[in-house]
Amino acid sequence: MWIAGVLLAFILPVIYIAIKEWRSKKASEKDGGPPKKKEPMNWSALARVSVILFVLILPSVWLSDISYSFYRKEDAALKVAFKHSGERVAADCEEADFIKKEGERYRKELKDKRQVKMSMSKLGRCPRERHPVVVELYMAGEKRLDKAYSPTGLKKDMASYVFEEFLIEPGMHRVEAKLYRSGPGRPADFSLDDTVELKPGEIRVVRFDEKAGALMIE
Amino acid sequence: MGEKRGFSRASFAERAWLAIEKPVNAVVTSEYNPFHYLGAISIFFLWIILVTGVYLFLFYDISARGAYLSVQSLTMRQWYLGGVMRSLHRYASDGLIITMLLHAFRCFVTGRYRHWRWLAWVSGAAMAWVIWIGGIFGYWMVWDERAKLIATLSARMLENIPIFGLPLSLNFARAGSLTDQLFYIILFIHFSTAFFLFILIMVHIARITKAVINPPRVVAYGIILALLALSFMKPAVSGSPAELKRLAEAVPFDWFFMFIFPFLNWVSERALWGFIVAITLVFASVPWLGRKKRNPPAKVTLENCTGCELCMEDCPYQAISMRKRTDGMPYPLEAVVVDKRCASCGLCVGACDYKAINLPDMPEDQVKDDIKRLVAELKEKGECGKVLVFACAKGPWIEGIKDGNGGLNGYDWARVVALPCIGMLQPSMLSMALDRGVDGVFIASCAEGDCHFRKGNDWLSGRLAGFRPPVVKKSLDRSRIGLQYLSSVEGDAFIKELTAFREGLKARS
Repeated sequence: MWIAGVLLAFILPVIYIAIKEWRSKKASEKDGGPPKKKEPMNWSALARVSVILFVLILPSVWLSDISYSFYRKEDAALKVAFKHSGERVAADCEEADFIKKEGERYRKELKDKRQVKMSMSKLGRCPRERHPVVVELYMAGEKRLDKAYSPTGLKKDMASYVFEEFLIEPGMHRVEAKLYRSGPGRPADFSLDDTVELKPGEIRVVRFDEKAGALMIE
Repeated sequence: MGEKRGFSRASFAERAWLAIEKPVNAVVTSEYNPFHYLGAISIFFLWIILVTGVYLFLFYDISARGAYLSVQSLTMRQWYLGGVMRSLHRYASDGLIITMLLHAFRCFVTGRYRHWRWLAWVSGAAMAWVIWIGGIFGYWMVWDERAKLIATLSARMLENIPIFGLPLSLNFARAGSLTDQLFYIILFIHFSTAFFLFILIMVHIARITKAVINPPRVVAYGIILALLALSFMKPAVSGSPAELKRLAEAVPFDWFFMFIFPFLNWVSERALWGFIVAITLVFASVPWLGRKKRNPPAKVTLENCTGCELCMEDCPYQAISMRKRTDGMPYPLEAVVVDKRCASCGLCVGACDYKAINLPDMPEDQVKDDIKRLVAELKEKGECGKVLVFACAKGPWIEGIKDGNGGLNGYDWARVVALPCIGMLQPSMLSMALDRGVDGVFIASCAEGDCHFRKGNDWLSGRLAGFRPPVVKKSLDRSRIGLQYLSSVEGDAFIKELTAFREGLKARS
């Protein structure tokens, strides 16, 4: 269904232009244009025009064959890439607590009255902001990354997205990573200390495994 | 009446460009010269891209796993149709970039971008953006090693625009994070460009009367043949499938679309964005940079206007509209000129038989006085084979145009009346010259299909052939009228044709 919708959205302007063109052609014939007679194809002109157009477009063959590489052959890469939600910023109102209390009130009043309304407006006023996720990365003891990733969403209540790429020399590397999700002044919530071997051109990714609840290298 | 209009020779760049076109004219004639239809050819390429794109879409698997395989299967197993369609899609896209750039460059060197043409120029800049974006995302869809590199680099660029909150690169950091949704989004963006392009084309031609959006049939077939030849000569194929565990290696790059990415080797993404935005702004503001003095717009003499609408029909830039009569005359309509859109080309003067519209710096009466004076001069000479030349200022360059005295060095038997556009030539001007005693009238128009004011030579041909009002009198001896379509670098050809025309006149008398 959506395919038909998309096609329709693109075909409509095309139909519009085709009709407009047809009408303007008709109008031009009406206002005294030359009598339209389908002329026979000028084959010799066609041959010559084809050759000129061929030459005109020919550069595209060469210009699509020249190779390009952004990376050097001897590069390898370590990426830090994952999505993670920081902890909720402590607030006066606790969302879960509020839902629980409101549920209890609802059940209690339902016993006495026929119709009871849930009051969710207070819930909307309850801040849901999360702490940014801070990632530190050390390679061979040297700090390569120390960055805070803000939560997304207008209310800053959604996950933080982490992506960094480090081009490194191939070989053995000790990788230490720390993830902070509970706000400033708190110890690291997750950490990783591992050794990886990278071959030229290889990419390894430091990511957070939601199931295992740990940082890992893939 | 203002200062009399003078004419200047085409710039060096324009002459150099036209000199390149000259041999093409010689091979295919000016009627089929692809350089005269670069805009229309670009639109034709878009049609090919649209049709082949719809075909490719029918076989495209919109998923992370299936995208590469579906394209590869179409290219290999259905090489005779699907493979050809893919190649046509690819080469038409490259062709579009070539013709788009040539179109812009040609408009620039021929000075067709200032004043009343600003909207076409600026919308053209917007179209270039949409075309490049569409092309870059189109390459993503194949999802081979080249696509991976393009995706990596374009994601880096996009992540540096503050409106994108999420790092796009995260989607292809590892195989597990590559989702089908990403391919749906890419497909949507790629398709959307076609939609935006059609809207922009409408804006591009909004202020143009009878825009040429289709190339001549011969050129259209020529494009298809050329693209088919390229498609069979070097079919578009995929590279190896994208391997997310490895860095993108050296891949063949489509430099027409991807030329911007190698700059990332030297500058940061933000600096590159700054550069791109600056270039775009400079390009879009070209119509206002080094702006030349504009000739005064046409003026309507209301007491002579019959509201016949011919000037409105003939105006190539929709600068004339009709409104309800305001002076109580017994005609329903009157012509109104929108000064900002007026090119001061005089096409409306050529369409008006009632002296109702005039160029303030070159009124009809002044042109007719010049005709009378020059014919009288020729008659004084008493030579056989006297010729009055009506020359388009954008046509072959003749020294007589410059000083405005009408003389033609070394050709005493000829005089020249220069007009800003040959479409300004009224049938009554032709009759006047012939009735007053010249042996022949020679019209030097600009090249066919390349009128500086778009329609001048077309309208004149129509009047001579008797189907576009005001028509040239049937009683006028057509053998005494010569017509040549020549560009500003074909002065030699002009002299040759003029001399041959005179010889013909002499032989008859």
